[in-house]
Amino acid sequence: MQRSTALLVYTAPIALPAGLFLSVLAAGSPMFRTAIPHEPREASRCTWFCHNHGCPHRPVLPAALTGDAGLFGRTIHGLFTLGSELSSRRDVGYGSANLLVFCVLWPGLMYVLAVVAIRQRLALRARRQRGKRP
Amino acid sequence: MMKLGILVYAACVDFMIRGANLLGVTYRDTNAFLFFVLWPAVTVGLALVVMVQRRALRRR
Repeated sequence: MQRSTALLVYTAPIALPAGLFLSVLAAGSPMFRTAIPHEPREASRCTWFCHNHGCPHRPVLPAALTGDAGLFGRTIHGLFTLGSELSSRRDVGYGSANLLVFCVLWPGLMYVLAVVAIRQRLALRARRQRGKRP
Repeated sequence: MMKLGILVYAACVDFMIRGANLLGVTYRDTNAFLFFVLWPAVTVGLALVVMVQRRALRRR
């Protein structure tokens, strides 16, 4: 595989989600913030109120996933527990736990799996091509 | 470091809120779909592909 093709293949699992992430961010303003905002509650759509005080809107997905007693609530609780190990400040710990799990560890695991899968695929393809040669 | 952390964290929450508003669902829905449906499915799918391909590589 050529160097430029390899670069494209291995950066695609990062570049494509990053492109989607930035596109959605660009749908609002400001695109990036330097502080956690305090926005008022709105009846028709979610705002930072939903993050800061709990979302009062009716979810589409089942309560087993989105409810306080479901996976959502248990995950928030788990992140606060992990956060208390990371910082004595509740908000800093919770934010750090979120970043660690959802921005570093889990995406990192998915990227490693994607790279291994691509390398294996290339190895299998190379073997098949060697087998076809007379 | 703290400023970078706030910038990334706020961008992630904004992504969830704006994504929810674009799709006409709630902030909880986008969180639940991404972290309890899509990411687990992608992770398990990739792990299965790796295991199947590893077996194929060992067989030959």
